[in-house]
Amino acid sequence: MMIWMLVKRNMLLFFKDKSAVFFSLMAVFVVLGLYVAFLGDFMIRPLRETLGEQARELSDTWIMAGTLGTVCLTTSLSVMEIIIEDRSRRIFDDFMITPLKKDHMIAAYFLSTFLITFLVCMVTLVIAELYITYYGGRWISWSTFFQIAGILCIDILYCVSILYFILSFFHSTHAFSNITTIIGTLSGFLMGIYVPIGALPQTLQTLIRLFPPSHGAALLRRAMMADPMERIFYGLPSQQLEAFRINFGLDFHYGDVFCNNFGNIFILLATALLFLFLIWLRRKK
Amino acid sequence: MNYGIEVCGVSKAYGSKQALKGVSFGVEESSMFALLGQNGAGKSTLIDILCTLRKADRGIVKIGGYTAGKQDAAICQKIGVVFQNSMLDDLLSVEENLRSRGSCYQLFHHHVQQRIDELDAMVGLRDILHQTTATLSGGQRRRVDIARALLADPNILILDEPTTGLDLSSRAQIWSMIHHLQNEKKMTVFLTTHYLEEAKQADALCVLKEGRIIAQGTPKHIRDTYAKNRLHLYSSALSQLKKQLQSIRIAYVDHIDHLDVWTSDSMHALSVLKRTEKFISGFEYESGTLDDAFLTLMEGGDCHDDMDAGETKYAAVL
Repeated sequence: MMIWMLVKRNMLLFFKDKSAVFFSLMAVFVVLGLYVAFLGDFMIRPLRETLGEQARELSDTWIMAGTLGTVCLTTSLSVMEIIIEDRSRRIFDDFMITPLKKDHMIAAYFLSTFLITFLVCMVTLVIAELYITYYGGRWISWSTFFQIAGILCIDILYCVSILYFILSFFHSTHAFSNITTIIGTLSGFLMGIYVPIGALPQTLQTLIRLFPPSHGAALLRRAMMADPMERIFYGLPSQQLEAFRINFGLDFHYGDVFCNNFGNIFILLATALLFLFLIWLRRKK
Repeated sequence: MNYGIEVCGVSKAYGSKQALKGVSFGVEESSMFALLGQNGAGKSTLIDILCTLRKADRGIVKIGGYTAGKQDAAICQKIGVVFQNSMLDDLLSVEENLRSRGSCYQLFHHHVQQRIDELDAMVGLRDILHQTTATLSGGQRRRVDIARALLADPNILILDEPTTGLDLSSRAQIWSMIHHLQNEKKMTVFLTTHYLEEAKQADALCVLKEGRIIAQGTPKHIRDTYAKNRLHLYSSALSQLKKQLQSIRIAYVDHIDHLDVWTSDSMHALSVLKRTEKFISGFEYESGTLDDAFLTLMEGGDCHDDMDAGETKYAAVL
C-alpha cells in the first residue's frame, strides 16, 4: 500500500503540473510540425516514385513510430523532474523520517515513471493513429496494438533505468534542466526519426545502431509498419523491401549479422538490467 | 528521571569540517527543550541526527529509549518532525499531502481520515483541507506542517525554527499549538529557534557554538549566569565618578551624560551604588535578558567570568 500511495502521489504531481504534461507531449508536436512543414514532403517524394500514392501511409507510420520511441525517453525525463525536485527541496527527507525504506521510495519513483510514460505513450499512439487515418491510412489491429504495448513496456523499462541512473548524479534542478535539454535534443536525432538512417553517413549510422533507444524505435517501426508494408510492397521485388527496411531503420545489421526482434529486445533488456544493477549499487547514495 | 531524548558525546564531521564536537544533553519526557545557536553552529546537523537522517560519527543518541542507527524504524514511529523549510508538495491539496505522508506510516484510508479529524481539532485544518498547498499563507502552511508531523501520533516533536518568517499572530498561533501539545498531549518538544523570547518558554535550553555546547540549563539559569545587568550612573561630575570607579577597579562604559557599569546581580549593583553615592545624581538598574546572555555567549566563547569581563573593559577604558 505504501508504494502504491507514493506512486499515486507522483502521478498526481505529474498530471497536476500542466506544463510538465505539455512538454512531455512537446516531442510529438515538434515532430508533427516539422513533418507537416517539410520533412514529410522530403521523405514522401522519393518513395512516391517507386510506391505510388500509398507511400504517404508508409512515411506517416514511420515518423509516428519514431516519435513514439522519442516520447518514451522525453516523458520519462519529464517525470523524473519530480525526483530532482524531491531531492533538491529535501522532500525526500520527509519520507525518510517515516518507517518507509529507501528501496520503497526508489520502487515508487520507478513504477510511477513507468506508468506515466506508458499512459503518455498511449495518448501519443492515439494522436499518431488519428493523423495516419486522417491521411488515408488504416487503424492498427488489436494484435498490433498489444505488440506495441509490449514493446513500449520494454522500451520504457530501458529508458527509466538508464535515466534514473544518470539522474542519480544530479541534485539540482538547474543541472537537471541542462541534461534534459541535451538528452531531449539528441534523442530524436539518435533514434533516426528526422532523417532515414540510410541517408546518413556511415559513422553516424553505426553510432545510431549502437544507441540502444534506436532499437526500441526499430521494434516499434516493425510492429506499426508491418501491415502497411505488407500491403504496399505486395508484388514488388523482395530486395526493394529489404533495402527500405535497412534505409528506414527497421532492420539493423552489424557487419553480416542481422539483429532480429529478439536481438533488439535482448539489447534493450540487457542494458536495462545493467543499469538497474548499477542503480542498486548506488542506492545507498 | 525519564528522558525523551538523550544525546551523549555526539560528534559529526563533513570531511575536515567538524560540525559537532562531543555534544551531550538530555531532554526530559513531556518537557520543552530549545536549542540555540547562530547559523552554522551545528543545529541542523544535530536535528538530522535526531531524525535518523544522518548518523553520528561518535556518541550515542537515544530517542524514546531507542538507539539511533540501530532502531531507526522504531524511532521514526516515535517522532514527528517540522523541518525548517516546508516539505509539502505544492501542487497537491492539503488532504492529498496528508494522505500520501500517512501511507508511509502504513495508515489506511480510514485511519488517515480519523487522524485528519483529530488534527483538525488540534491545529484547524477543515477550511484549508481541499486547498492547493501552494496557495496557503505562511501561517496556514506551518499549521499543515505541524499536522503532517503529528500524523503518526508521535511522542516526540522536533521543530526546526518553526516560526521563522511568520507574522506575529501566526507565531502566537503556532506557539499556542506547541504549548497545547506539550501540556495536554504530554509530548516531548525539541526545537531550534532564533527568537530568544520564544526560547524563554522552554523548560530547558542549550546554546551551541561551533559544534560545541557552551551553556545549558533553564532559561532563568542561563540568563542569571550569562546576562550582564546594567547599572546606569548619572552624575554632574562625571570625571570624578570615573576616578572613583577606577579606584575601586570597576569597569564602565562612557556615555555623554552617564556611565554604564556591568553588575553580576542586584546586590553587586547596591555595593557599587554605596561606593559611588557621593558622585552620582541618579541611577537606573536594568536586569540582563536572555538576549544579553546569548550575545555574551556568542561573543565570549565557552567561558564567562564577570570579573574577567570587567577587567578587560576596564583596561580598554584606561
